[in-house]
Amino acid sequence: MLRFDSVFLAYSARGIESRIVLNIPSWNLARGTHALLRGVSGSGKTSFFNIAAGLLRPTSGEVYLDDQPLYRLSEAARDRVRSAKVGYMFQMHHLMPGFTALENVLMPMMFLQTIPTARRRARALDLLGAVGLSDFAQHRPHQLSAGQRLRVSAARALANEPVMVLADEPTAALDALSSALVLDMLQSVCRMNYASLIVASHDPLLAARFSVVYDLRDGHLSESEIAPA
Amino acid sequence: MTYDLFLAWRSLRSRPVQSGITLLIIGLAVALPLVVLSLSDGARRGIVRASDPFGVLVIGAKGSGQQLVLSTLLLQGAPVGNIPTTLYTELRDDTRATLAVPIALGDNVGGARLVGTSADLLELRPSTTEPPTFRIVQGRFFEAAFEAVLGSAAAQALGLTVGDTFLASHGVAPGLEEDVHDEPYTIVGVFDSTSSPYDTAVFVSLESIWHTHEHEEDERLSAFDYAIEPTEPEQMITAVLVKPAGFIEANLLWQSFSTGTQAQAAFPGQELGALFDLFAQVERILGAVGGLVLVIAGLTAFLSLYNAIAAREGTIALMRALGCSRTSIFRVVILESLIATIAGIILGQLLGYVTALVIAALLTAQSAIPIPVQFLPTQATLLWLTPLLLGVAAAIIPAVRAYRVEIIQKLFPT
Repeated sequence: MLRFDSVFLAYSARGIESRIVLNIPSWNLARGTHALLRGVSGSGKTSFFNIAAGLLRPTSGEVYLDDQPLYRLSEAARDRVRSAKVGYMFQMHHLMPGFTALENVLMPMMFLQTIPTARRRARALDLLGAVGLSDFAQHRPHQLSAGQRLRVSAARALANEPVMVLADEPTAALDALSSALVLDMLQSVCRMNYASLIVASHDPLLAARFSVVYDLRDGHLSESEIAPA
Repeated sequence: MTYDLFLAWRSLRSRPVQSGITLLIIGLAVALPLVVLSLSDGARRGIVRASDPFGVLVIGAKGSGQQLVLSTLLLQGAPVGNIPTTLYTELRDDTRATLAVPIALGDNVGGARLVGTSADLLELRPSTTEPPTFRIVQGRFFEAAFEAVLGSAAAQALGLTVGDTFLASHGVAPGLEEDVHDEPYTIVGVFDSTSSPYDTAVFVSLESIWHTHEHEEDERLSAFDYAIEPTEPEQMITAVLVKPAGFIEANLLWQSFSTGTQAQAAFPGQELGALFDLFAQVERILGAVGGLVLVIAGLTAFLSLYNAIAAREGTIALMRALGCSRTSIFRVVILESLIATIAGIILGQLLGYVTALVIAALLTAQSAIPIPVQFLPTQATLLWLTPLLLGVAAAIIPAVRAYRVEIIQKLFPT
């Protein structure tokens, strides 16, 4: 479902490559897989996600999502593919300031417009209910706690029933209970939709929840030898 | 498109102060030319309508023709001067004229002008097929000296009615106590409205005016003066309203006066036309000022939007990351400007018409010339299209800036 083919990313200064961020000759993730991506801070996890979401063109190589070569598509087509197939939970929650929690969850549905208007509101409320925020639908981001904002972000990532959900450090700012709630919701919705889930985290306790664990070190991606529980 | 509108509206609402200021400036920029245009149009119509019930040639003392028409027909400003009454009698008997109405101005009662005239006034009408301009609604027309008939507005303003008496004062405006004449007038009738400044006047016979002024002249001249030069003051009037028998006769009359030295003849249309030319010049100047204000409004809208976009680049990047296309972002910014502009135009049109109505009412109260303020379709279209175009123009650079926002740079700054 998601395939990296000779993906190489390096940041350059004045035309000289200064730092290699990613060097992934070949990598494939089957649909429905729930994977944990581990790596120290600055190891390139967010860059990996941005490339997978079609937001960051790699220095070379190609990314295939459902066999579509993302970076050979026009930008508008890539926007549409991302909107339809990728749910992205950013490390910083990145909610729209001025919009309620409900409107934030409705936003991806408005952009894609594949879910009928009449169904959107009910779906957004269901998703907010699933993250325990039914009573906060009309709250704006500044009226929510950091954990609540993250949960709204999780609900938003699932709005368009994506085939792939990318969650960048989704539990970093949460207590144990909230972490479990968010991860439970992400995993159950992804299972229901037969969607892939990749969670980036450096929390060693999370490994047990995932069928496969990858380590990102020095730009290289490797499957972890630590067998999941 | 639906969500574009939603996002544009919410974006405007998220910065109420800037949006409010932009809206207000656009509103003022629309209101200003609208007030100027509707008032000058109203003044034109009002003056034409006010002079319309007469349909005459005005004969008066030599001097400014415009002043003669304004002071005689619209009762504005001081009369040009006096002419001998013999001129009226000559015109009355002139075959080139079908009607001659004498007008003697110079006195007032509580600010209402006293108009010395004759029963010929009752024969005045805009055209031969229309009813007379002056119709009695209460009482009768004056038949003797020191009887008076009130114009409809004068009756209301002075609070007088048939049977009441009053003392007139010298001058066309209320003056000092010593200017008050001794002889009291008795009101014998009230005119229906003529929709002209004459509604604010009080009509008396020429004899009453002459008698008052002769009496005063007598008081001023000492016995010694009489001994040297015993004279009888000449009976003077201010103007004669002449209804020419036809176009040729009107021209002949005008020519005979323009070559003579005794008096002048003025065509109201011609004189008011010259006045309207002056209006047009003022209108052009104020129009340029209005245009400048519109440009300033456009610049304000631009600055407000540009700053808003600069501050919102992170949000725009987020929208893009969530699947909103660059063209949608561009559209949202243009729509944002259009919504503010349309709201500003609606506010401006309301503000413009209400202000014009208030000013027109004040001017009417001052001048007694009814100034009708009405919807101006051509100007309204212009005052919609110009700000709308400016609104779109003001949004283009901010929209391009929003269009160019790069997701990675703004959402994941290094």
